[in-house]
Amino acid sequence: MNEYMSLLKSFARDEGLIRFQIESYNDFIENRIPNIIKQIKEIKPEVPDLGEFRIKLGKFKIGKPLGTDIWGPWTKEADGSERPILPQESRIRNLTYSAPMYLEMTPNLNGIDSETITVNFGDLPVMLKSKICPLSKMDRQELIKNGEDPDDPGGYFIVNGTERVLVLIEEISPNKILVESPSTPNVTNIARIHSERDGYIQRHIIERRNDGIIRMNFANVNKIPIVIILRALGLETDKDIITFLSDDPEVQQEFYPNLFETQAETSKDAIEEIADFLKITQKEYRQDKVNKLLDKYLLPHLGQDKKNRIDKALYLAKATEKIIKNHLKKVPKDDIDHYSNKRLKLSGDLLEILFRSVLLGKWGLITRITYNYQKLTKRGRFPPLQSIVESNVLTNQIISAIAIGSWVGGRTGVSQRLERGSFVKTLSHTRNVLSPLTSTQEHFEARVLHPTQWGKIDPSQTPEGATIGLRKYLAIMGQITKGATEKEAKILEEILRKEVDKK
Amino acid sequence: MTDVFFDGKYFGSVKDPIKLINSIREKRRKGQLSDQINVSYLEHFNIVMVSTDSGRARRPLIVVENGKPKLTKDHLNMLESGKMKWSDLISQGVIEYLDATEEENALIALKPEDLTPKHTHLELDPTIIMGVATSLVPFAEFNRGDRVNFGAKMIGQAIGMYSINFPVRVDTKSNVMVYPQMPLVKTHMNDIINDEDHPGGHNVVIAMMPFLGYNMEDAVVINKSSIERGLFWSYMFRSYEAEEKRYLGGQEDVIGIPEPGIRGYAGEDAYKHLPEDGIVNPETKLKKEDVIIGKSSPLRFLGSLDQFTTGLENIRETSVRLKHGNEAIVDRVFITESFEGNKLVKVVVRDLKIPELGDKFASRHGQKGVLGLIISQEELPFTEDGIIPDIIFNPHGIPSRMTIGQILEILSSKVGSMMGKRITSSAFHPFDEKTIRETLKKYGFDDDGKEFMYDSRNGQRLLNKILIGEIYYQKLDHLVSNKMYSRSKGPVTLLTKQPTEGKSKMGGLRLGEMEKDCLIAHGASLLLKERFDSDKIMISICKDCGLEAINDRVKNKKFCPMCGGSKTIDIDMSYAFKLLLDELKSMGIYPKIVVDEDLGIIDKMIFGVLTPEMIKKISASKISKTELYDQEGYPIEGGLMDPRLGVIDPGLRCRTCGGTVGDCKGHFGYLELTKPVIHVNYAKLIYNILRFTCRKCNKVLISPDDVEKFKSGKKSMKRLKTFIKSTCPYCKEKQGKIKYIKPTSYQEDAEILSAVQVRERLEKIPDSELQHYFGLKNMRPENLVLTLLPIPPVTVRPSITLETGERSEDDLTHKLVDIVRINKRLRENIELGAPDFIIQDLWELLQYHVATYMNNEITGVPPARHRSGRVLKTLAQRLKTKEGRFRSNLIGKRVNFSARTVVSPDPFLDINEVGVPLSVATELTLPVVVNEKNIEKIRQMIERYPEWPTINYVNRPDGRRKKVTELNKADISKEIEPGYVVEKQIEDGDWAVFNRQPSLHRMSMMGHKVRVMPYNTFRLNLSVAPPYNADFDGDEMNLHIPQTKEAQVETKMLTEVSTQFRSPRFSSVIIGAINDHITGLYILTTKLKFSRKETVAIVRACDPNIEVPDKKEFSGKEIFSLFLPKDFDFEYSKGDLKVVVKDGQLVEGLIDENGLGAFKGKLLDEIEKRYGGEFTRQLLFNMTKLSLEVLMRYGFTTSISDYDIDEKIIKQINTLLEDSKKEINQMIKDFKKGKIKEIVGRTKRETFETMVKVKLADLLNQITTLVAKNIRENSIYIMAKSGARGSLVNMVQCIACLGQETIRGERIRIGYYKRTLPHFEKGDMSLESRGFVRHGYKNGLTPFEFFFDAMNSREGLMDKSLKTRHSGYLERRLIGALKDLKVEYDGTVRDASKKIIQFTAAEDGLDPSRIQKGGIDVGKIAQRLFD
Repeated sequence: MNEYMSLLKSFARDEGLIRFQIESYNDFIENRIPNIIKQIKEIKPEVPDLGEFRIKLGKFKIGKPLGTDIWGPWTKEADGSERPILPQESRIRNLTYSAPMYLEMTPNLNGIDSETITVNFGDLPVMLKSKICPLSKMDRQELIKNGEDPDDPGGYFIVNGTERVLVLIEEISPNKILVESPSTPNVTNIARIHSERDGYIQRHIIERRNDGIIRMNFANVNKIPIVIILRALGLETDKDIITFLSDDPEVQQEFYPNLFETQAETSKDAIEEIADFLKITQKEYRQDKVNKLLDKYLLPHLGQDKKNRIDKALYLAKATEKIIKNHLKKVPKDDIDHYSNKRLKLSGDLLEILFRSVLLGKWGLITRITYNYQKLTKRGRFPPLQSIVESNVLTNQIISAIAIGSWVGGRTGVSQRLERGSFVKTLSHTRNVLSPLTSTQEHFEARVLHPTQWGKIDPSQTPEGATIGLRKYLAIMGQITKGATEKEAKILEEILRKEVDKK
Repeated sequence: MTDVFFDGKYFGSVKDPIKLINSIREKRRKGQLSDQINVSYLEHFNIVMVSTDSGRARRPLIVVENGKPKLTKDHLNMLESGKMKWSDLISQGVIEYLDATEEENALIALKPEDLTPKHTHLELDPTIIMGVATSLVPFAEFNRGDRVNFGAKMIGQAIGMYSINFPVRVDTKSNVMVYPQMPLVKTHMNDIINDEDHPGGHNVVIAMMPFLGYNMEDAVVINKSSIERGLFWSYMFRSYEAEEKRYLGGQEDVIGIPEPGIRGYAGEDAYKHLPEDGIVNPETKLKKEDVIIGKSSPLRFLGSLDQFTTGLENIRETSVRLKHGNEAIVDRVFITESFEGNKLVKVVVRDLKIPELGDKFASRHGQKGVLGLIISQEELPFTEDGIIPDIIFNPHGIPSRMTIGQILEILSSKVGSMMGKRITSSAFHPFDEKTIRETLKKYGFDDDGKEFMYDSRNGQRLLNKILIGEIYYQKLDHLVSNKMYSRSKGPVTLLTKQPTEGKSKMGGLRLGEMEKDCLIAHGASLLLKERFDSDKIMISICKDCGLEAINDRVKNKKFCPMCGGSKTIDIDMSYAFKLLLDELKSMGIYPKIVVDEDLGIIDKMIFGVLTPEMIKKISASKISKTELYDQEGYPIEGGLMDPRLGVIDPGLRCRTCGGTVGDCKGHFGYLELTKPVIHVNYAKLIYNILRFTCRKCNKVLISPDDVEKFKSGKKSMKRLKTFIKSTCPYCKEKQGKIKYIKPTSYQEDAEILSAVQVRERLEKIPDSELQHYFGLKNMRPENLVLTLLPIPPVTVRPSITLETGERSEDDLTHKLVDIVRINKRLRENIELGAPDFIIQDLWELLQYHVATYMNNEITGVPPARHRSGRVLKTLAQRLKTKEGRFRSNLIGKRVNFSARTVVSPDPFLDINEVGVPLSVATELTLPVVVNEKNIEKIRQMIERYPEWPTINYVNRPDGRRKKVTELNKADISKEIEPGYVVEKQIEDGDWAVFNRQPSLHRMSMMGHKVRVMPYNTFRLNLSVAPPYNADFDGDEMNLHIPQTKEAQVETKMLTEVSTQFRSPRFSSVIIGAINDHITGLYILTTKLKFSRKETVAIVRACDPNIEVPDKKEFSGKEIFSLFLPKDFDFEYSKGDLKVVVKDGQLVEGLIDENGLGAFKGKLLDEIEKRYGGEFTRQLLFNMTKLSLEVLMRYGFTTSISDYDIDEKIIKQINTLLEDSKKEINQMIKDFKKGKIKEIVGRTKRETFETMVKVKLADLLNQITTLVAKNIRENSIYIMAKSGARGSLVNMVQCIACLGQETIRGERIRIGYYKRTLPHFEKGDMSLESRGFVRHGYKNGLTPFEFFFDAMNSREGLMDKSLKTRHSGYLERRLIGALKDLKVEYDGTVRDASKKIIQFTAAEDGLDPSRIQKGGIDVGKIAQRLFD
């Protein structure tokens, strides 16, 4: 009894009850935003009158200095003055508790760098008690002095004076081959792959029909025999396909009829075949379209380059193997409700999706910068960077998404008003797990308490009524991975490379 | 070879997967790899999964190596002293996080004692499976799963200290308890979250006993003196906010006292609280709708009317007021600046909430209930030590809910309070029963916490000891004062003229479809009519055309716009119906109303299609302009808001009929379509007509020989098709192939038929052909190709003015603007001679817009959208579905004179009465016609204003209505004379219809007599709780006050409670004794004896008219018999119980559920049959009082000792369990060896499962018999035996063993691969791993058992919330199928078209509620059939 109390107490003391949210947010501002910027690297507005023009993106910084060691949230007053701000003031004055984000930008005209300037490109709401929130550095007395409840968990945002939480969203794990029972007639087995890249999910369904032919659906492709795809991806001989598929002769045997589904002998032929299949008539586009399909829309999580094709072929072969093995009763089907097939979207993940779309999407910040440059230079002006970057665009879009709760991709209710009915309710709400399944349908299996939730999800607490079992709460010590850093993943990959035979 | 997947990518394959994962794990534990990494080998898929991605749910576990945990005492000491941090444990590999995938590889031990060399991990502690809220439930493992769920939920709803910085916060609504306490019994979680600073309840002294019925069905009784000492007091804070906004053009809001003369100025008096700055000062007392912040705003869009007005009238009053129905004191005021630099004012007001009847309370064990009685401590029972309970909880709440945890909490609190310290009892680490009981003994108490108590009414000691102790109780955020609501008349919505929705908008309650069904079932047609007149209007109908006539106010005459005639008749109808007619007309449908002139009601309706001529005639204006308003904001003539189409703005007059808003019901307009378009809803019909008729001679393509053949059979399109020839049998023209391209075009031999062509063809088809083959009467099909579009009046599509002053148009107007615009463009293009394809495109666009205007949910057509992306709601959508006109405004609607609040019990209120709060009674009124006889009384009532009962309004015979106020009451009192109608507040004895939703059967709405009472709840006698299915855990009920005499009479004669004793479903009483009543009567008739003195006291308390014979001592049976009619003889037996009543004397047997109980009471059934409802009601009322009185004196309670059973029996049960376990283990062994013989048609596995199931059922049976035989006759036994509450199963589940937990009837098998939890080895099929619970709730469940119980109870809760919906829908469909069947006066059952369905109702003409119970002997009938 005492033993575990000290364990629990030290857990609560050192980790807190919503470490996962705060860590995820910290990760977002420390690693993910810089990563996104690294990916963009530079902005290239086309200004033919001036020559080749680029804006190189440099270091990212968030917040303004509050003291020696912390950069934090600031606010701009109506009279233009700026000063640091604390949560309590934001709440009373209907302000947004946010910090300005800065980016180093170096304009480069015809290969000559201009002076690097630091540009404020928008404000980001600050999560309470995160790294850049001054509250995280205060002790109890200081917190009380600043009008805070010292036991307040933090982990939420203050947007226009209201406290908003980004709830955990439970999703089917992406990038996994999940074999399920089919619901359509004549289909004996199906496999589902939700391939995710940068928050965007491409769904693939592979099905085995009565006759043993395996077909797949993805993007706008419907029921195309999988061999054609495999061939187009570069498995030019039947032997390649079979060896990629499996060592198991039974599986090979079972797959055999599929080989007759294509007449193509080279990848090029197969690409033509896909073009035929899709009824693309224009000669000029045929190849381009299919190539784009294979690179951009097929299994994007494995990469969106031509060089990733062989990986994709391998992956598809493995999916095919699993589907056949499932048909031969060699492997069981996957249990969708098993918690290893679930991922919880943390605030960092959600913000990343939002951030990407606000920055890179159609009419995102980058497009606007390009557009503005082109517009203004046409009129013969060469405006300073600071005036071109519309920091309001990013700020407003992010704030309105958190304020309303409707996210990119049409999902609503992502952010919720923090429940302040009672202290326990507040704590629970920050640990809320929400399933995106519609509450109007039965979804019996999804609602039932699954034994794999032991220790991660509270077995008892769930609302009565329509959302029963779909709305859950984390168990005390339930934690959520924020993900290993790239460096850490690299180390692991090295180790694996030594031990694992690559095909 | 094993495939390796790395973060969803195929990485390669490996020979020895175990070696790989072990090496990675080792590196992770050494800190060489990130702790975010998880790796696992899934043997069933033969893959290795390596994950580094984000979003995997994980949990910490202690690493075990060689059967030894890596966590040592040293670690713990260092943690304690702060020398070490949690993260150090991770980096040192002592504790690691596993995700669900890696857990597949783990074998986890629950406790250090369980460790074997096979184990890989050790659970930190079993409590970690729970979340924050659940962890706060003490003794959670002693409660049934669903109660833990409720308990956790209600901890979250408790009013307490939600945040200690609340004085500086401005939450819109918050509650803070005045002096909350930490619980006496806490869990570890209370410490972890520092609950000391955020408690949410009080430790109260609880007595577990019935209290005269005031705490039945979950209600609780609270000591008034405790409340006066401050128990459960709380403040409700609400914040109000105003901002001085700046608008474009330099205008801005002004916060300050509004100047007189501005729009909406409320008079000097309204601003009396405001100091100069227009913001109330702190500590100001505010009453209903007082102004908090004075504010005035500029009007944004100036109408032309405003041109000549002064500047002041261009300003609106926009002050912030106290919410309706609230009273408060200003607590604090914040004046600051918003982001834009505007002045921002936030005012927080507070309201003290002292516990009152109807407030909701709950313990932490899911036991919730409303406050049923507040009674001073002088009247409460007390112990020998003089302890008086704060709360009295009814023991009937315990056995069926099986919340043993609650009893244990009471006892441990008692121990804690004696020892003077807090008790900690986290889940799975309970403060154990043995210690509790021993300690209690040590302090000189009984080991079950029971004490003798004294009845303060007579000082007598209760016959039995009562459980008394402390418990942590919470006041939940469901306060009656926020829920109670009543409306007499009030605001209506603009569109339907029906009452608005919602308490905040003074809305009316809904008398929905199901409630309507109840009234129909009662046969109370005039009551239904009265209820549904909340939107009654008078409409003039042309007797010839059946269309609405125009009532010209200027010329003061009524005429039909169509035929010009003036033969009109005024009839009453619902405004929603009138709206429906307009909506139909907008769709081109001609709803002809045929009026029954004698009765002045609608006789029938004939549907046709409007012809262009008709549309033109009924129209007041031709619409051609696309703009709605001119620059001044005045509607444009010829635009869609043409002033001739009617008025929606108050103060204006209609340009067509001269009526004001309300008088003028609106007039149609028309739009000349440049090119005709197909009516989407009839496109299919047009298609059929086209393909079945000849393209040349326009006759139906059926050969003359077939005509008779077709006419003799079913006239369906499908059948007609079989007769159709491809060449015309008359003119021999070869027909083209007609193809229908959804939604609105036709092709003939690959050539598109334009709407013009289609119309031409349809025009030529003779009427006779249409009638004979297509069944089309009263219509011409060419009118289905629209050339004129009827434009609905503005009243059908009113625009609303937003708070900002902007106008927002209705969806229909938006759509019509599109149509007019495209129509105009098409005309211009044709006039300009644009190329054909452009014209074609525009035509198609026009077709699209007209089609989506009619119906915006056509398959294959993208729905028309608003600029914001919202799908528009057009004509068909207004009518369809649950929210459509039919189901939401006609079949059910919001009504006037209704009230809703929480219900609480009152055993001393007669069964046919309802207690109505005074504040509701002062709002609801009844119309009373003043006459010579009552005028004096009414004058007095008026003069009494505002003291109840008084008059709220006075209606003069000329229709003027006046509100009575304190200022004018003297004048009004003088003014009234016979003929005036006054609206009198309801008084005792007035009739009301009482209702609880969902209204599933007739008895969900019954007539009650009003009894006005203090406090804010509706009170009802407990015997009527069963038909309403009401309990007192926070239920709310609705009350309706019928206004007309006819409706009142129907309420009394048809729906009154005494007439509803029998349920037509099972022909037995549905109103009867429950819980306490049954226990009381059982005890009375079995074991009690009273002296004459006592007997007199008891009997007098129930019925003063009964004479008590002169006798020294009375047995319970004799006392019971005093209440029976003297001529009553009856005998019945149920099971081995035989009951004999002779000459009104209970001679033999006892009274239990089968005697007087609701649903089952045989005695009650017989009495109702013999003496009628009125008598039964009185008898039942008196008997329930008797039983409550007796139970009070008896001293009925329950405690942990009731669940005690002999040691020997426990041993026997254990042996039984052990034996069965052994047997099943043997079965598992056999199964694994394949030695099990399968039952035919089942697999080996299924056979095995069945065998286990049978074995377990057998085991449970044995245990049940054992328990049943050996249980002492204690209170839970009495409750179960008498049928009052609980059952033998509940007893067994508490005392002995819960048995098998199932999901969908199967043992639990979902989970990890080949095992449910990672604590079992793979392939484990043993009882405990498959959800067998061998403990009872009294012993507490183990962590596994708790988890499986949670799974099972989740399933139960799911059934409750998911299946109810489903069955509700089934019922709706059933009622839909039967709704217009009616027993006619000739005894036949007929449908609406007078077709005979049955010659006698139900084929036997019997009233189902009067059929003697006994049922049908199916066996006998079957036998007869076979013979």
